[in-house]
Amino acid sequence: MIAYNNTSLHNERIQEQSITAFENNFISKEELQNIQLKYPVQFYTPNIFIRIGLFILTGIILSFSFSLISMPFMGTIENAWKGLMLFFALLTYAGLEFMIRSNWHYKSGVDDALLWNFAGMLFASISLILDAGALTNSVLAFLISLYCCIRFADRIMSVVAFLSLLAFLFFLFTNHLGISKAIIPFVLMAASASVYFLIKNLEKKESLKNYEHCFTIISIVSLLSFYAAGNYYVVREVNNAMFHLTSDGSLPFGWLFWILTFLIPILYIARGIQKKDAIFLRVGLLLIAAMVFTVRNYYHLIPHEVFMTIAGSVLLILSYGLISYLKQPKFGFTYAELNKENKMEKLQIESLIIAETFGQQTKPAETTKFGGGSFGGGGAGGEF
Amino acid sequence: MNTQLFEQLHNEGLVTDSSFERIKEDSAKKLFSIHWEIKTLLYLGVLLLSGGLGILIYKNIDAIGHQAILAFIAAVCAGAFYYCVKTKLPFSTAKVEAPNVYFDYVLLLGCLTFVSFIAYLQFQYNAFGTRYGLATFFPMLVLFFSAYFFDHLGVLSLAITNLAAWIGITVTPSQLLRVNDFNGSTIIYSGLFLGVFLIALAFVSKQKKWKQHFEFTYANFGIHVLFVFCLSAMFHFENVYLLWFLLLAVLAYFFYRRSIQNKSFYFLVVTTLYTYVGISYVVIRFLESMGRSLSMGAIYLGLLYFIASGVGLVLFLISSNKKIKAL
Repeated sequence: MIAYNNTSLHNERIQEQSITAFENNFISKEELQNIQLKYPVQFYTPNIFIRIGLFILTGIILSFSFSLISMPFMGTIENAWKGLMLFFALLTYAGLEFMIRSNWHYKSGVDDALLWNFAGMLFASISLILDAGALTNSVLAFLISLYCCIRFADRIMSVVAFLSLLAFLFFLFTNHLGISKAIIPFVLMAASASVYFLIKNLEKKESLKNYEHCFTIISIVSLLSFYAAGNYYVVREVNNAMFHLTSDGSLPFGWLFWILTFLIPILYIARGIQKKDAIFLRVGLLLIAAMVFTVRNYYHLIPHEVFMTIAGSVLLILSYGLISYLKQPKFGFTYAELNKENKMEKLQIESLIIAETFGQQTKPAETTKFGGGSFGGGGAGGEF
Repeated sequence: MNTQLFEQLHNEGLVTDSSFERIKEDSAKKLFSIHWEIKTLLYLGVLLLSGGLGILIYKNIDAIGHQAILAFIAAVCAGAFYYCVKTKLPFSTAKVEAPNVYFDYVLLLGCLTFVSFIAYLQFQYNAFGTRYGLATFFPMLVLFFSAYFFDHLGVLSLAITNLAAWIGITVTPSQLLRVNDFNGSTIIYSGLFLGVFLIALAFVSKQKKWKQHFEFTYANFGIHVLFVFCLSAMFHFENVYLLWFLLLAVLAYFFYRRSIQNKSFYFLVVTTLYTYVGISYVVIRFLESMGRSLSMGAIYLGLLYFIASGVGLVLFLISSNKKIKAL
C-alpha cells in the first residue's frame, strides 16, 4: 500500500524513539548504536537544508522539463496544453515511484517536489479538461490527495484531503441538496468530529503506524475546523457573503453560535489539562485568541490600545505566576524543559549535530532583509 | 515514550535492565512540560503590553510631552541595564549561560529602549544634526558591547544589522540619501567590505576562542552579504561581469571548503544556490549574445542547460551530503 519500504519505515520509528530515549539519558550511547545497527534504515534522507536545496532544484528541473516538452507543440499550444499537463503529471509520477523504489529516496526533497508536482498538475489538468465546478473540483482534490496520502504518507497531503472533504460537504449542502442552508455549520462540525474520532481509532492500529504523523496533523486540523464551523464570526460572515439568509445581516440562532464560540476553547483546554494532551492544550490556547478576536469584532467596549495593555499585563502576570507555581512540578506539570540537561551530550552523535545547526536557523530572514533594505533602500534610520 | 517497544528491545538484549527501569519509571511518572506554552504566553504578553502602551503614548503625546516620554524610555533602559549588571554571571570569553529565565528578555528590552532613545532624540530634537552616521554609531557600539559583555546572540544580530546601517549611511553622502539616488558602486564595494569583515570576525571568534558560539551568527550574516553583493556587482558592472564571476567562483570555493570542514549542511546549500544563480546568469548572457543568429536553438539550449545543471547540482548535493556524513 505504502510506496516506501516497510521494514525501513519500521526501523526508522525504532531509531527515532531510541534517539529520544538517549537524549533523555535513559539509554547509553552504546545501546543506541547497537539498536541502530540491529535496525538499519536504508532510506536516503538527507539533512533538512539539503532537503530544501534538493526540493528547489527538483522544482527547477521539472519546470524546465515541462517547458522543453511543450516546445514542439508551440504552434498548437492552446489545444495541446491540457493534455500536455496530464501527460507530464503521469511522467512525474513514474519518476517519483522510480526514485523511491530504486534510489530509496524518503523525505529527501526530491520525492517531495515530484509528489507535489504530480498532484498539482494532475488536479489542474483534469479540472481544466472537465471544466469542473466547485463540487467536482473538491471531489477531484479529495481523491488525488487521499491517494497521495495513502501511498506516500505525506502530512500536507492528508491535510489537503481532509479540507477537500469538508469543501465537498459544504458545496454539496449549499448547491445540490434542497435542505436549509442553516444546518451547514452543524454538518461541518459533525464531519470534523467524526473524522477526529475515526483518526483516534485508526491511531491505535499497529498496522497503520506508518501514518502516525498524518493522523496527528489531521486531528489538529479537525479540532480547528470543528471550532471554525461553529464560530460566530465565521458562520455569520459566510452566511452574509454567500446565502443572505436575513435582510439585516444578523444571524438566526446567533446565541447558539456565541455559546459555541466561548465554550469550545475552554473545553479544549480543560480536556488538555485533564488528559495532559499537548494537542488539545495548544489548540485551545490558540482558539482563546480566536474567541477574543470574534468578540472584539462585534463589541467595542474599550479602545484597542487599552485592551492590548490590559491583556498584555494579564498574560505577563499569569505566566509569571505559572512559572513560580510550577518551579516544583505539581499534578504532573512542570515548567522545566524535559531534556535540557544533556544538551552537551547531544553534540556527540553525528545525527544530532545537525539538529543543533537547525536550531540556529532563525537568522536568515534578518539577513536577507538587510541585503535589500537598510543598505540598498531604506538607508537612513531604516533600522530604528 | 513507547514502553512496549523498549520492552521488546530489552528482550532482545539491546537495552540493559537499568535503562529499561529508567524508561518505565519515566512513563509511570508522566511529567508533562508546559515550558513552551508558558514561554509563548510570556512573549505574547510582552508584545501586547508594549504595543498597547506604545499606541497609548502616541495618542496622548500632547498631554504627556516629549521630555516626559524620553525620561521614561531612559528610565526603563537604565533599569534594565542595572538589572542585567546586577544579576549577570562573571564575564568569560567562553559561553556564559543566562542566570535566569528573564535575563535575556530584560537585556533585549534595555538594548531596544536604548536604540529607541537615540532615535527619538534624533527625530524630535535633531540631536546629531545631519551627521546621521553618529546616530547609528552609538547604538552600534552599545549593542556590540552588550552582546559580548552579557553574551546574547539576539543582541549580536541587532548589532550586526546596525553596523551595516552605519556603513551604508557613512558611505552615502547625505544629500544623495535625501534625493534617494544611490551611487551603486560605492554601496557594492562597502557591502563586499562588510561581508569580508564579518567572515573575518567569524574566523577570529573561532580561532581565538572569543565567544566561539558567535561564529555562526557572524558567518551567516557574512555569507549572505558577500554573495548578495557579489551577484549585484555582476549585474551592475555589466561590461566586466566575468571578472566578478571569477570572484564569485573564488567565494564559492572558499565557502564550499569551509562548509565541508565545519560539517555544515546549511552553508553548503546556501553556497550552492547562490553560485547557481551566478552561473546561470553567465550562461544566459552567453546564450543571449548567441541568440540573434539562432533564436529557437538558443531557447532549446537554455532549457537543456537548466535541466542538465539541475540534475548535476542534485547529484552534487547528494554526494557532498555523503561526504560530510562520512567525516
